[in-house]
Amino acid sequence: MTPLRRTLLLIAVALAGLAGWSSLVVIDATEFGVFTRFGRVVRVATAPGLWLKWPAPFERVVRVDRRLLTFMPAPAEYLSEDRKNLVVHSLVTWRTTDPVRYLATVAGRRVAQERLTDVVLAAVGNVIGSHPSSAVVSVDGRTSRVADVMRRILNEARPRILADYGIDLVDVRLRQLTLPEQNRANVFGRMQAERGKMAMKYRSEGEREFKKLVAAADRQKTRILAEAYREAERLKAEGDAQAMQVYADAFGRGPQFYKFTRTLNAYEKMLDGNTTIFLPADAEIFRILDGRPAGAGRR
Amino acid sequence: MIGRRLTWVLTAVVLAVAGCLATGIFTVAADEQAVVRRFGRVTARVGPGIHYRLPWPVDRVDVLKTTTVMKTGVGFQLPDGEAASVSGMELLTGDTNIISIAVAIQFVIANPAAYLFEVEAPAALIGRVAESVLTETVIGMPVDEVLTTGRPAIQERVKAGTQAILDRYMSGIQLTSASIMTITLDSAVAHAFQDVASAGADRENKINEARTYANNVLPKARGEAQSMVLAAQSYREQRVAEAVGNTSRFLELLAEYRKAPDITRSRLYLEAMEKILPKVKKYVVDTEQGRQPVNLRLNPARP
Repeated sequence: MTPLRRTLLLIAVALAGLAGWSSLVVIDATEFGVFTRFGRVVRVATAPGLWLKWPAPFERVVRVDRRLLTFMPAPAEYLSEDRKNLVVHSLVTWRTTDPVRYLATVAGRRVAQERLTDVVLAAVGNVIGSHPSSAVVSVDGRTSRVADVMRRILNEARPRILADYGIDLVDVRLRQLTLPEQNRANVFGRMQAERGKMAMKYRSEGEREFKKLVAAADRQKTRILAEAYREAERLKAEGDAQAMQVYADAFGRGPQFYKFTRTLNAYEKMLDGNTTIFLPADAEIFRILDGRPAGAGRR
Repeated sequence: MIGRRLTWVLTAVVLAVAGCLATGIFTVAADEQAVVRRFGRVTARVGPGIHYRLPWPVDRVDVLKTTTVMKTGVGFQLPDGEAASVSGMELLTGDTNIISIAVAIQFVIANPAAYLFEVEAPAALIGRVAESVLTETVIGMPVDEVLTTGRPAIQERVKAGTQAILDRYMSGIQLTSASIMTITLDSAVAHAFQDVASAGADRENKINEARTYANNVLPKARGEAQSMVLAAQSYREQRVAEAVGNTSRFLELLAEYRKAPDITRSRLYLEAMEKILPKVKKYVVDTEQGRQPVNLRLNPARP
């Protein structure tokens, strides 16, 4: 073996090794492999695994992501059917289903996203523009109507994107809905006014309720006292009447004697230290001094 | 000579191959799951323990923590959710009010293969999908409901809605909770909202004040009423008792008087005079002889 032959052999082995290495392709679970021969697509590896191809200069493989991909187009302002400005922040999820068409039309992710943005935003504009803003922003709609609007957007954009770019538009979601900067001050002003009204309503309700309750309490108080007064007066009158009855019964048994004792009682009360009386010498109290029998004079 | 070199070479090759094969040993911890791919194709999903795979470039293994609960969220920047400034995401309510809400979301990886190979950056996607569900939810609710009673419903709907969408995307993610961390209002209107809250409190206070007043006044009135009635009752009893007392003395005297009228009469008269006359100023006038009365008063003040 001459050195030249040895060198040639080594080169041949190395080339064979390189060619062998280059003819084996691993396609991952996350991707498609598109085999091209001098730029022309010859085969598509749709399943992951080990694939064979002609070595490098003859066949090449282009990998295309088959996973669900997401991007967020820049927020865009739209006019609803009733002339309200709405800023839509959307979330687009998509997946390549036809890698050949994908490579032929958009060739890469950046371009794909640009195309998707154009189509999706146009669809959003169309759908939003044909609905009143109340279809989206409303207190009674719950989520169903928003979901409805978004589904309409998706349905409008989806077939075109699939046909044109080999991309399945999985979802267009309303990530955020805001109002244009110049409308915010208005909204805040209105919110403030609404709250002011509400606060006032609460306070006047409180005041009204307070007055009502206090008045009711006062009325009840008056009623309680009036009833008690009536009852008390009735009891007193009853007492007076009963007492009268007792007096009348007792004094009725000896009216003369009553007059006599009652008069003496009255004297005791009437006559005190400030009183001056003139007694005739023949008053009954002095009768004994005269020698006449007491108790006989008055009769 | 050649044989010896060959031995060395063979030994080196065997060692190299053995070393290479040895790199295929891997361990999976108790809280992990691993997915093995052979030439890009998923071939096995293995649990905790020591496992073997063929070395690169044949097999590849991805190890994921599947029992650890991970956090993400809506309305704050750090993926951990530990940020001090939870500002919230700005939302429009159904009655066109602007509020900000921050939601913390916890999730686990339920299906490692799906998590790894179906969706690009699935963890980051959760927050965005949750944002959209939150937007759809809040946009159909009045602001007062969002701020008060609607919170559990919002949380529930964000969790269920996000889960449904993530399932549709085959993300392999299982949400364990979605909880509202803060609901904030723009500084321009926060004060007005606070004022409504304090107005509500004022109303309650006013009503309570009135109740307190009633609770104070009515028992007092009842007490007063009762004491009025009681006083009247005792007045009645007193009057009757007085009458009985007064008349019973009279009746006793009357009985005595009936037995001996003159004596009793005189006795009563004299007893009364005895009581009365010592207190009064007296002039005794002898009318029969027509003389001037003699002043018997011993009072220096009036001569």
